[in-house]
Amino acid sequence: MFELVDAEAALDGRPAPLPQGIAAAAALLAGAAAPVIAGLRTDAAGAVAAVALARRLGAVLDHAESEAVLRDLDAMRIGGWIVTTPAQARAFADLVLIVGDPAPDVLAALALERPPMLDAEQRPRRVLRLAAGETLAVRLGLLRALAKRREVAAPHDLVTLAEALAGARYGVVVWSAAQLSSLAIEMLCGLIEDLSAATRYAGLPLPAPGNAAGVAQALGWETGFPFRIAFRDGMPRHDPVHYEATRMVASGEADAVLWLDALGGGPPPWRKQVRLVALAPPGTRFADPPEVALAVGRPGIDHAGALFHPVAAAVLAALPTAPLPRPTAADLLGRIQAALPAC
Amino acid sequence: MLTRITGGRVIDPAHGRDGVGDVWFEDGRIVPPPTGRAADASYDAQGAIVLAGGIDIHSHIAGSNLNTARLLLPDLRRDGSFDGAPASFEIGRLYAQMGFSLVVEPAISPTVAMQAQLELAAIPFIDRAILAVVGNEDFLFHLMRADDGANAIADYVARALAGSRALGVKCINPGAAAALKANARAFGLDDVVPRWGFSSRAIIHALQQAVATTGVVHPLHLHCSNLGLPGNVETALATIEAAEGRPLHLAHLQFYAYGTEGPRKFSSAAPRLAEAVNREKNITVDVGQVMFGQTVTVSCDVLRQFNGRHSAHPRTWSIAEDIGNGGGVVPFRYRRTSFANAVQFAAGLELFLLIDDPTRVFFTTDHPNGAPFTTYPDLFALLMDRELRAQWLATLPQEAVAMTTLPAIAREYTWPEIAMMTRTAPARLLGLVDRGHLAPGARADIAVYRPQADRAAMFRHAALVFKDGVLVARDGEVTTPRFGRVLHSSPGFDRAIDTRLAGFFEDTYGVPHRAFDVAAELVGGTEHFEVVPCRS
Ligand SMILES: [Zn+2]
Repeated sequence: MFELVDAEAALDGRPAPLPQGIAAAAALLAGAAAPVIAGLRTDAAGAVAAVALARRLGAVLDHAESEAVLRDLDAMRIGGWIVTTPAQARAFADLVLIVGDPAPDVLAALALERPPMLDAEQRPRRVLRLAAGETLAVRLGLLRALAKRREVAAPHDLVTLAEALAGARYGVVVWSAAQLSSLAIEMLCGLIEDLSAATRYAGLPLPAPGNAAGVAQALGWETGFPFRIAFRDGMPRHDPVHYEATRMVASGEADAVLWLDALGGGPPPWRKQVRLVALAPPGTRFADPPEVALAVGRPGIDHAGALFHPVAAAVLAALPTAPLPRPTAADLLGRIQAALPAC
Repeated sequence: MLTRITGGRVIDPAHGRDGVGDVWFEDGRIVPPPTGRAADASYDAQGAIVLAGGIDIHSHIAGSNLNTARLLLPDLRRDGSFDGAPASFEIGRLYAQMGFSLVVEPAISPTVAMQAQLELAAIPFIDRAILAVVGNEDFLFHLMRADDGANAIADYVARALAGSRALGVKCINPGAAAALKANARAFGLDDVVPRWGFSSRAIIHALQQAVATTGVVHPLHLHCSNLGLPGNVETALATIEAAEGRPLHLAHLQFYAYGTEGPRKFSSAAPRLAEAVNREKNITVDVGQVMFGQTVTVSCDVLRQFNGRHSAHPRTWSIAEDIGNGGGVVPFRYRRTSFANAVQFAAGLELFLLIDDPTRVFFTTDHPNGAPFTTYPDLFALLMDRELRAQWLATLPQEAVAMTTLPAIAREYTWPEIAMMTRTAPARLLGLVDRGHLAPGARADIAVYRPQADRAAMFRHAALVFKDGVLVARDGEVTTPRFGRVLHSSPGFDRAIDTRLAGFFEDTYGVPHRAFDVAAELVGGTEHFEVVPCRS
């Protein structure tokens, strides 16, 4: 067990001055044949700097929560979707269908116990629940058939649910992609589409942790693609299967990893040994000391950063709550890039 | 460093200049020809055309809608031939190589301005600006009911510009996004927002007045109701009339130039619209020309995108609602073989050619809605060459061509008219005194084109492009990236509006209003921004 304590840097677990840490990180990455920049729990500036470094190194970029983000993106890409923001749902939704068991923080921001302030009738909201689980996609298929007024044999609870759903003026369906299969999300989007023929419905996909949605946006404008990007000759390629960081480490394809975790989400999930440069806030515990560990500031806590705001559902400025003079992820990545040998 | 561009045909309509001569610049600004000093660097422009840098007043180059288009369509981008939603860096590169130096992103809701500004900060070479979208927020309707409505709305608009760091005000299908939330599926100029009772017309009036009060130079930039629908020329004509002589900019007018004549009940009504624009001198327009090929429509007209989602090609789309307008992304392919698309193509060109004042008609394709901005070179070539137009028309369905007057139009844009439409007039429309011309004191934003048989090729790869006096592109190849500025207005307002916004947002939406403000320190710092003065 190694804990990054309040040192600027550590080399194989031993405290070192920052310039030495930067030099070691640059040397390690420059010597790698197939480096991966993973974790990516960072602000917009950190994501932009990670893209620049990946482009320079010919590295792969992936986020710790990319699986959930890509599941939502797949649903959008496959069938189209109608979505809204928590802020808008709070103000308008007269019916909220919660699928699975999403994290309580954003749900709390919806103020479901209060009537929607901008709804015409301002009656108490109807809050309904649908359990996640293996049968969800099948149940959603039945629900879609009922919504389309087809004659199907369906369990009583689904018939009741379908009737309730049809009575909404502005219904919102809430889910967290991490808890659902791609198929279930696609079916939810289809259900919203079916219900939209007669009344108004919108999906509310809740954001994954680690600023995954914000980093997906930043990678979008920087490269045109979300996560799981590889740079070859400076050009980005997107392959959601091939460029998954965990798979690349497990298979041995990746020979070095820069793990970027400025938001304090924890160390890499894999057990396999791989050469590691870690950028993490002090206090982060690693099973084994990384070859290079650099202490990084936390956006929105130690310094200002642009982060996806879970209630506004937009990338907004997050001002520091307790400013500390720690380097930002963008600073450190920029310094590592500057320390790479000339190409 | 004193630099001289020698022997080109210098066209600067702002100062009535059109003749062979030199342009001198130093420290990023045009200077008078110096006496007794030799140039440190000299560029030969003999036989070439020398213009100020191009200015695009309406092109969707940033924001969450455009970024959704990127994330929605990775497969289209894979082979590199789709310019509908390039990465930010590519946008700057592609504009610079065509000789552009400023592009305005016209549709950013204040609630998503922070991301748009981050995206702008990633676009190299050119200057950029955004217009802030208002007109569908419940807070605005709330102010329209208040006793101090007019003043409060002006404060609200000024506050939106300040929070977004925006240059001007955009209004997109006013009232329609709010009506869609109440399950309306159509919304015209005199329909009213459910619950509030305000018509689109009333919202336009309120915002025109607010813009005038703030002193922002760019007039209200309006995306009218009923976009794309057969017969919608009546909406556009009624909207022009509703302006009652007050300044108003109508965006992508081509999408409102439709009549209901002919066998398919779809025809070009561009001549009627052009006549109205020629008559009403308070009106400026951009065209939103359709060009054929794959593109993607990105729009804060969420009602239009909602209604159009099933025409997506490929069959994927995104409708995203939000506090105000929200938006939608619907990929689309304009086909030469399509009757409707051919009528749209011709109607756009009719507007360009039948509106006689090149200071009031702008060259947009409403990138990427009518076509990617990379089709501008073809568009300029079509405007300058009736033979080329005839060749294009010959490839279109003739029953569609018959629903337009385009074959009978002989006009060809001259170089001074191109310079006026793409340089002089946009600078004036945006209130920029040191851009769009080549007189001493102007920024040394300069584009040099070398005439050749293929005019489109000439416009695609400018021979020389200078931004603030630095060579940024040569024969279509860009140099080392550098970054221009982001322009915005900064009208004063009564801070009391902050208190009202804070209370409304916190309670209604669960987010502090200030959380939406652009943080300059996260987007390049104060040096990155340039304030465009308001009228005093
Ligand atoms: Zn537009």
